[in-house]
Amino acid sequence: MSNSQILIQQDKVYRKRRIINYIGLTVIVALFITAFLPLFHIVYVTTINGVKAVSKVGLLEFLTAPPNPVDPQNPGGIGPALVGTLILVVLTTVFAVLLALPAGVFIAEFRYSGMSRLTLLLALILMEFPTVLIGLTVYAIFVERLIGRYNMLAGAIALTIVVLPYMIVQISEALRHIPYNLREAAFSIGLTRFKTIYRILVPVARRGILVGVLIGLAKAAGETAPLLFTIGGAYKMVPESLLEEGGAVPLLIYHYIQQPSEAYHVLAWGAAFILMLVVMGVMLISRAVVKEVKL
Amino acid sequence: MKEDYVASREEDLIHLESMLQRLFKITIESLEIVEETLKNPSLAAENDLSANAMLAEHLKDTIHSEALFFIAKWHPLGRLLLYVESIIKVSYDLFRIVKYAYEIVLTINMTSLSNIDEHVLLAAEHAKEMVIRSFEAFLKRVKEKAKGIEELDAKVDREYRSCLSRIASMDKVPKKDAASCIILRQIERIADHATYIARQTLRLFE
Amino acid sequence: MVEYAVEVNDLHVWLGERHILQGVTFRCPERTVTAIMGPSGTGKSTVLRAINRLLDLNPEAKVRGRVKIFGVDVYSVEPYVVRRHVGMVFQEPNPFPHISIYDNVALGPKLHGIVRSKKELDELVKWALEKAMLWDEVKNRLYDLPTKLSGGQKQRLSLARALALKPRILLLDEPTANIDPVNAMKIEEAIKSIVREEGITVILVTHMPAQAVRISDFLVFMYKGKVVEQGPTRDVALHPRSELTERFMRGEL
Repeated sequence: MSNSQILIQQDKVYRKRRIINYIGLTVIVALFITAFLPLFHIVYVTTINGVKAVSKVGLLEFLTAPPNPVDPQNPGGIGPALVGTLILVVLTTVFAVLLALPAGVFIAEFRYSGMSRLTLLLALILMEFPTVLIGLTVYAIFVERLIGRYNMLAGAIALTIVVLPYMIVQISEALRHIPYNLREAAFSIGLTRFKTIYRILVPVARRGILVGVLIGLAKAAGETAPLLFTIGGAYKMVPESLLEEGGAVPLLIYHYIQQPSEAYHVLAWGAAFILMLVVMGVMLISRAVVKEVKL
Repeated sequence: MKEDYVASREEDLIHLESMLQRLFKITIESLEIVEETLKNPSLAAENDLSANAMLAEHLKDTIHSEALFFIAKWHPLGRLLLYVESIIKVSYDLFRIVKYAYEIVLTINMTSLSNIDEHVLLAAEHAKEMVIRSFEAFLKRVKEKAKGIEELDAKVDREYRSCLSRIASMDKVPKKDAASCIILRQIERIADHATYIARQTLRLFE
Repeated sequence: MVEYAVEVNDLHVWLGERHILQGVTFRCPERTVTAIMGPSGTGKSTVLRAINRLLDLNPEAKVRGRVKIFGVDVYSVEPYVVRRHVGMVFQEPNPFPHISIYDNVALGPKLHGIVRSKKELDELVKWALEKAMLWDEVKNRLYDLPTKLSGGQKQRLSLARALALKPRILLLDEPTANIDPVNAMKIEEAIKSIVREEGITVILVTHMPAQAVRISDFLVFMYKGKVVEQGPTRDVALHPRSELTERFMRGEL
């Protein structure tokens, strides 16, 4: 067989392969679309309804004014609930970072010790825990027994417990991905384990750690169940102290959508839209941060 | 001792060159002894030159193995590789020259000549000049100095040939002429090796 | 009695079940370069890590035998003290990516309190970078991150970082294995001048016989966790007594 014949024959084979390739690709794309259809649908519905709701009073008014659901013409906004969410997110982030950083470092840097493995296992179990149970537990301890009423601090504590395992796992992963030879380099210039961790490893992994914090932050902003039995649900005004009852955006959505009046629904949709923007924004930022990681 | 081991490439090269220079010094010393002996045949310099020849051989062997080691160690390429190769060749040429110098003195002593023709001495002086010029050209990397060596070589060659044709015309060759011819033949070989060195230089520093 | 900079005596190392080093013994006189040579997977790097106790980081590692530096058993003192006086450069260039070139060199001296003033620190950093033959290339961008440096420059930065602590002993784990020949040559030159001018004792792990011949005074040839042959570099390189060494030198092992 001459060389040109070989080429022509092989070309035929490749043509067949290419057709099979196209069919395969089409199937994959179809499955992909099916899987993500719900997501697109949620975004679509929330945006349509949300924009309608927000435009009724104007964006600034919606973000700052207290809700006024008795007046369907001017239902007000979600200002106090937004502030409540902000307070919860800040508190949760602070609590969670303070706890998750040492735990993540412990898991990553003492990975051979039994305690470290146990910590990771507990974090993974906690991650799968129904959040409503966490809310209930915090209610039993902080609301019922210690403080005696719904309060923001209890909400932040419940959220911290929910967010903690995500942060721990993310932080330990970030540290684990640091090349072993950097650890060796740090030790080889006589640094102690502690100095190696806080001078070298944590700063090198800072972007990965930041991603963990942002994921936790987004989760804290969006969770509803842990707040059900903890912060009460006062949407008209900002709480005066952390031990007061307060509101949060996801909880507001949950409560208002159940009300029989149209104005409540408008507010709920608007709040949902804002919440979606915030959570997606945080996620996008964290993705961008990940991209920038270089060693 | 340790400085020898942990040396840079340049230092290793300088070491090689310095050994070559020592060999050259021995060569020139031997050629001077040859000249002295030609002027004054009763000079018994045979032992001196025998010692020189042994020393030269040892130096040549050392230079060879050192140069090979240099190549194994530094992986030289391009001109440097050629240069190291030339060092090996030149060391061999110098060693041969010392060996011929010894042969000349041996010839004079064995034949117990009383006086030697002027033109033999002249040829010997030419040969020595050739060795000096070509070696300096090699070491100082000046190819101009290496030019003109071929002409001198031709001169020494002519001297040897005319000696050959002279004894060819004789039925009975006197001892003195036979010895002159043998000595001239050895001088001619010395000139040849000087020419090889000059050619190395021209090839290397073109 | 001659005091050796490094003495390794009947060193055994197990990593988990594997018996990595099976009785390694050698000595390094002060101010010399000893090359540990052998095929990969022979335990050469493990020897270095046993000397500066980096093996401690691996909880699976078990060490038996004696390692002395200047007569002191390294397993009888704090590992941080050992590592402070025994510098190390690794196969993979590994400057800290999050701090500047300057800080990479200055971190060790700062944390160990070696310098008293900023000026002293500046001088030390300059000295270390000069010794590593990197100063000219980075003097105008000392405060940049090292991520933009080439592989060879990163490796010389790693060398400078080790030198900044003014170690008495320097361990080099195939420092030129992953970099280009020109940079490799610069590192070899740097090693030589460090030994000559600073009197540092160097142990170099390499799988390249020619490199071992170029920069070492003594050769230790290892095979499968054991020392097969050792002696002055020229003797071992030119007249190996063991068939294994001979084959390795020929490039057949």
